[in-house]
Amino acid sequence: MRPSTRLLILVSVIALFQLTLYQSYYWSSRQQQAADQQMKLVIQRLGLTDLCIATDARYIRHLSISDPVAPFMDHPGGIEHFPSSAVIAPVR
Amino acid sequence: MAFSNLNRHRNILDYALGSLWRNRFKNIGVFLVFSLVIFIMASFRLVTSSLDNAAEQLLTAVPDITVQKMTAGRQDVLRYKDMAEIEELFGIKELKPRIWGYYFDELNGANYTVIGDPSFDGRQQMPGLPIVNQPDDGSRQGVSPVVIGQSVIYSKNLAGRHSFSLFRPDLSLKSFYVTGAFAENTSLVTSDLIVMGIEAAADLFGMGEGELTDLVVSVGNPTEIDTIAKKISERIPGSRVITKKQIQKTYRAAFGWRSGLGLICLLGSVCAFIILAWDKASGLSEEQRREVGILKAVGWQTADVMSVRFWESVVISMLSFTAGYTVAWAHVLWFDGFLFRPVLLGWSVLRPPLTLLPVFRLADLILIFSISILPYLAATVMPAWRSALIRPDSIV
Repeated sequence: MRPSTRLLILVSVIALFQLTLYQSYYWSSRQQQAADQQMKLVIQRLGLTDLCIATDARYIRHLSISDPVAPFMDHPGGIEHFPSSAVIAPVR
Repeated sequence: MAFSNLNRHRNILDYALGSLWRNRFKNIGVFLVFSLVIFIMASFRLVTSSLDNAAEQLLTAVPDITVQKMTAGRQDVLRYKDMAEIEELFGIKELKPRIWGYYFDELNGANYTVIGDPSFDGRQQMPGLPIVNQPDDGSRQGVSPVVIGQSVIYSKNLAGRHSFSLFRPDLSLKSFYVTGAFAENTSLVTSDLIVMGIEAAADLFGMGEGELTDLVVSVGNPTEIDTIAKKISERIPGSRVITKKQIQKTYRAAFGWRSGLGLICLLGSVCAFIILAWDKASGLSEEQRREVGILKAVGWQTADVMSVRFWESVVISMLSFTAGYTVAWAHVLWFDGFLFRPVLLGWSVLRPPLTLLPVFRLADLILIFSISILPYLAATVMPAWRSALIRPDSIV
């Protein structure tokens, strides 16, 4: 078998794997749409403002209604030390 | 003509693949490192774009205006008289007082979000909401009904138990009866919630009579939100008025390359590529020189030798890119980005079950492609050209 034919087989296997991924993505997105509708109901009813991703720091839990200087407010000279805030870009 | 040209390139590709196989240990190493770097960058971007997308989808339902009060640069309590100041404003559809705060559970170090809702009643429940009900039979006196999120059930070890207690500021105990739990598929917004009546929340936090933490305003005409927000800030001195637009804007910018983790992934990857490209550009082994000399002696042209080198680079870089990007999708879709979860969750004691749905964005694909494949291909041009210029009589 020519090496280029082997390469073609390898690329086809990867493409097949990607197709499986796409199918899985399709089903997950349908489930997610139903969950999104339910979450919107809760947000509307309770007036929620943020996603619950990390719960360690108050200003990460409720990112959008925190003051930009809240991370440094806990005590004088207190610098930001929560690891979860590494994922969040500075809020402007 | 086209067929013979295609056949010529296929022959060159065959030769290039054979050449890669002869140095398989080195090339597999390059492939693995290359794929790993692309996997990290792509995973980061897929995780963050999934969160971006969730925020974009869900936060369309956030309150039009949230009003808080600031004193000395810190959040202070509002009072019902502040509410009276604005309830007559024309254009406000609904105005709801709320107590919204955090409870730090010293027993296990968890932080709960407590919401005191004026219309919450343990018997009435909250119609239409995805809540698994455990109706209150009314037999418990002095116990406040609550609806809680899934992480709270886990954290308080409430499986099969319906009551629990929390400490007031004076360390006396306040008891609660769980009348419902938010469905698991809503955990992205409800995981750490404890929802109760507003009087129960005031009692738990030891707040004075008529004290609130914020007001939730619903506006009839969405184009008037900014105008009404301005009027509210004029009527309640020292108030902080947060509009729906500001909340959505915060989340649009929150997860991106500008975050600390994003910069680490980006800079780390760029450094890895510079080292890879440097190695490629500077190295031309004696064996490679001899190979080129022999090829030219048997009649290969300079363009043919450069084609071989080009195909070698294309095969390695494209295979690495495809493998890295595909595995990154599997990592986010099937394993919910488990490698990034420790950083996302930080020191959180409550660990919300985050279900991530990756989002394909052409801009991300082009960005990752252009900072990985293009520099690698560019770095191979110089050694390919140098090797192609070798005179056969200098080697053979």
